[in-house]
This record gives sequence, structure tokens and C-alpha cells, in this order.
Amino acid sequence: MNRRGFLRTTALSAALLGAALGVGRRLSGYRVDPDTAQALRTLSEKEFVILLAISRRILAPDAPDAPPVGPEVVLFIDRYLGGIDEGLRDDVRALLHLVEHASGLSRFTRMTAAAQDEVLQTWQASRLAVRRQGLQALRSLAFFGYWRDPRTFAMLGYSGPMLPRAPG
Amino acid sequence: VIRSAQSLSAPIELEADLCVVGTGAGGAMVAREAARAGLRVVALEEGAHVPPANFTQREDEMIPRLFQDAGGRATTDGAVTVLGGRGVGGSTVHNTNLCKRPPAELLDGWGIRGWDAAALEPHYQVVERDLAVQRIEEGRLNRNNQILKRGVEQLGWRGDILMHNRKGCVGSGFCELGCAFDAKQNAQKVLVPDAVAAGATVYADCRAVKVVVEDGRATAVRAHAVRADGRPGPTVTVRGAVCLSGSAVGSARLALLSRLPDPEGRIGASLRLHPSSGVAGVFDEVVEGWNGIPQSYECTEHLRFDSAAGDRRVWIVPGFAHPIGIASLLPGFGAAHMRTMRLYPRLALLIAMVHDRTMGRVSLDRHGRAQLSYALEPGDQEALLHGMAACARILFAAGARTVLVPFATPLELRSRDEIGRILSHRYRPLDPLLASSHPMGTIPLGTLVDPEGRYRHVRRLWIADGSLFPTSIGVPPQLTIYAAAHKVAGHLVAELKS
Repeated sequence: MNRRGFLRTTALSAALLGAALGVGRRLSGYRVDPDTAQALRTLSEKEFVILLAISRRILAPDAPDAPPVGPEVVLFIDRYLGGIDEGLRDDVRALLHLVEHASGLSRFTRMTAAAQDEVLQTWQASRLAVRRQGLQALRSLAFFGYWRDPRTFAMLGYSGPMLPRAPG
Repeated sequence: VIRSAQSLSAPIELEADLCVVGTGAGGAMVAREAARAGLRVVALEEGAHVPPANFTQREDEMIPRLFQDAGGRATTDGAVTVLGGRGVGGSTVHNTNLCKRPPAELLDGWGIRGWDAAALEPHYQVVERDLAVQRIEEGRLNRNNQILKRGVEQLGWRGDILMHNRKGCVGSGFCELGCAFDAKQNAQKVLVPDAVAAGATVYADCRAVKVVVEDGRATAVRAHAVRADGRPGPTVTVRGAVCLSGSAVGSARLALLSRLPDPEGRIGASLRLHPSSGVAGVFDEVVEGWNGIPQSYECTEHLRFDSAAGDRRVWIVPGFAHPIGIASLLPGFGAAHMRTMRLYPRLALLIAMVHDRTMGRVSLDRHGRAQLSYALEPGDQEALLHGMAACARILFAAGARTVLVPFATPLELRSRDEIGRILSHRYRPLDPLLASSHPMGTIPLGTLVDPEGRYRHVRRLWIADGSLFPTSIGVPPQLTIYAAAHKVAGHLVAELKS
């Protein structure tokens, strides 16, 4: 069974996923600015909004020297997802809908920061492996999109690459 | 010559004496030896040819280029991230140059004619000579490695400086992203150029999809170009005998895709991973583990190879990474994770790698993609937790103020008295986080492969990569893969020349 199959055949997750996708398609209210919308290659506008909200809680910049989690973090992830296996990509997209619509009575993106943290904590320590797996995937993506930014190097005390970034 | 199949606009057919699938430690060695013996060799590589001048030292740019599945490969349950190389040179491009022989006890224990330590000795010697393998000078241990050494010595445990294949190393610390200074004496730098100089042709960006078998003999490999967007391009057919060297995952996948005769369904069925987990120590001193050679010292106190080893099957080495990698290794998320990241310059990281007995499986999904199932067996769970506890002991002995353990609910230890909390942890998938860089054992010697490296059920088909190992080997596999491929190449050349 592949990762996608694993997600979809785990009894509870299958039910939640079906519900999430069904509800998710009917609900709207996810708007991004036109430039961002045009830049998206893999994620829908809704998925972009969900992933941005999740990334903000996973990364939680804590001081002015930590760059804010802006659209560029998720746009990078969007481009990265465009280069990976289609099955994995679909898993990630399904996961975003699952977080948004199967995290409680409210949508994840409409929760307070504290409530969002609580949801992610629940996923992190869940008895369901599929939830721990989901959180790990989201962590990896958020870290990939954020800690690549040279602005984060100074706050880490990291000297960074020795080679200059190639033009373009 | 090294060509990119991306430039092909129409299908091609090539005649060769030998088609080698894969250009990592195994494939590059076979290609070189066969070409030097006068055989017409074509080697196919799924990934690109990325020369050192294009190694940018940036994780976001190099991980998608140098790793299978853009670094996102994992077991089906997500419990083990499995890192494998992709591109000319395979995993030797991104590994940290560790060259360690397994002990004679392990090789002799395989009980396979011609694969005991004495028989492999000349092959190891060739590899160590050609790849300039030598002991790291003690003065080049970086602070993360010095901390491991200090802790090991404080505890009176067994440890040593490691052997590497690097020459002209400037200590940039970016080994895992490819060496921009071309100091790695690896398949990409040494063996592929040797093979090409001897007349071999290498096609990069070319994915093998079928070994053609006719009348019980391997007669060709069918492949297709991999376009820049990942989609398949024109077909490439190479007629000739075949050697599979596409890694324990890739070779098993191709064997399954090709529906090679396998009466007992053993292909892919004995996957070993060397699963590992990292434990971090927070120090008052500046560590800056990203500077210098990443892994140059080992602790072997808890690494035994006998059948009564129990949970003493753990190899401990430093495991530092750059920011994205370290963020992924550290537990948790949110504000707590951010606080830990701010400790980056004062973190030391040790890895406990299990000499595993668990047997997973490589199989195919309905799209023909490799899927890896692997459920850590209880004995390996104990070994893992024992190893992580040993890491914590070393870190405290070396002066760590606190120790961070990557359990699903992150664990922070404030003194060595709390180490028992690691041992009492109940393992479950993703708790702790695991990674693997050493898949092996999927087309093993003995059951599927004869002592000369021939696949038992198809003539003119050889296996030469980590797939061959009948067991996990408990040490980094690259040196043994090079040596095994050198041995198999000798048999293969003798047969094809005759």
C-alpha cells in the first residue's frame, strides 16, 4: 500500500477525508490577492490559505528578527510540490482539506491561534498514526519553505552558504 | 561520454555487451570494470548529471535535485524518511564519505562462498586505493565530533576516528548537498570518468522501466527519457546483458516491473533500512556543527554483530545538518520549536543507527511506483531506544545542559538521571521520528543471487548494489557496495568475455 493508499484506507481517515473533501468543495471564502493566485502552480487558492495558516502555527516567529511567515513561504512549497510524485502531491492536498474541515466544529483557518495550536498538538500526539504522519508532513513542508530564507540565517547565527546565489 | 536523454527527440536503440542500470557506487564500478575489460557498456541513470560547479550549498535547491522523490520518499506509514540519491554518482554525491568495512564476523556469518572477509579483502583494497580512502586527521574533527569523542572518552566507551574518501577537503560542511569543491573521491568524480575514458556511454535523465527476458536470458533494457518536467520522453532500448545497480529500492522496483521470474516471491521482501534517530544536546559552548567535516568520529560501544547482541546493535555518529535538515530532526513545532532553533549554534546532534533485523518490503503500487513497507520489530525498537539513551549519556558526559529527544511529544531531559524516560518510552510509528540513508537487502545473495552475482532465475542478468546484502551490515554501506560491485564485475566480465 502506498502512502496515498494508507491515508485513504485507514478507516477513520477515509471517512474524515471524504467528509472534508465534500464539505470543502461546497464552502468558499478563500481569497488570495491576484498576484499570488496567478503564481500558484499546484495548490488551489483555498489550499494556499489553509497551508499558510498551518505554516504560521508550525513556525510561530517569536521576535522581530524572525521573518514573518508570508505568502512566499507557501509559494515556495507550491513550486516544490509541483516537482514531486503526483500521488504524494494529492496526499498533501487531501491532508490540507482534512486539517481544515476535520479539526473541530470550526474551520481551522477561522480558529484562534491558540485553538489552532491545540489542533496541531492533538495531531502530533494522536493515537492515530495517520494524524502523526500528517503533522510530520506539514512540519517538513513548512520548515522547507521557511528555513531556506537567508533572512532566517542571522537569527540562527548561521553563517550560510559560502557560495553566492546564482543570478536568476 | 555522458549524454542527457532529455535531448532525444525520437526513440533510439543501442547495441552493447552490457547495460548497467544506475551509476552510483555499484553501477559506476561495474561500468568502469566492464569498459576497461573491453566490453561495450551503456549505463542508464534516472537522474541528471549535476557537476560540482552546480552544487549551490542550498538545501532548497539541492535536495530536490539530488534525492529520490525530491527528498520526500518515506515508508508507507511515513514512519521512516528514506533518503536515496538520484543522478550520476547516485548516493555517493550526497553522502558524507564514510568508508567503514563491516567486521569479518558479519561477512563470514553470511556463509556465502566467496563473500567472507578474506575473499572480499582484495576488492576492498582496490576500492580503498582508487578512492583514496584514509583516516581523518584528528585535528580536523569539528566541534560536534569533538563532543562525541569527549563524551565517549568520559564514559570509557569504545570509539574511533573514521575513514573517508575525500581529497582536498576544505571543510565547508556541505557534504550532504554535494561538494562544490569536488573533494569527494566518489563514483561521480572517479569511477564514471574512468568508465567513460574506457569507452562507456552514460545516459542521464533516462529511466529504465523493463528488463527484457527472452528464453530465460536478459537481452535488453527498455527505458525512456525523463523530460525536465518529469514526464516520459522518447524510449531508449539498450540490447545486451544487464546489470541492475539502481539501489536496493530502484533495482527491486525494476525487477518487479519487469516481472522477473521469482518463484517464491522474494524480490523486495527482505528490505533493511538502518533506521536512525537523532538526539540533540544543548551546550554552553559554541558548537556550530555545520562547519567542518560532518561525521568523522564514531562510537561503537553498543554495536555488536553476534547473534546474542540483543539491543546492542547501535552505531552512534554525529548527525549535524543545515537549517532545514536540523529543523526536521528536532521535535515539535511552534514557539517551542522556534526557541530550540535559536539554539542552533550551541546544539550538538548525535544519531543512533540500528543494525536492523526487521525485514520490510519493496513492492509496487498500481502506478508502478515503489512503495516501502517496514514495521520496526520489537527487538529493533529496543535497540533504537537503547541507542538513543546512549546518545543522551554521551551528550551529558560531554557537558550538555539539556538533551532533546524527538518523540511525538518532545522530551527534554535536564540531567542524566532522567535518561530512563527514553528507555521506558513505548515506540510507535513516527514516535520517534526515524530516517534512513541505507536501504539494502532486497535481491539478496543466497536466495535470489548466486555467489557470482548472477540472478538465479535469468541468465545474463547480474545484481551489483546494496540489494545484494543478505543482512543489514551495521555500518555505512558505500564501501561494501563498491567492493561487492568490483567482485561482481570480475565474474560478469569473465562470463561475457568468454
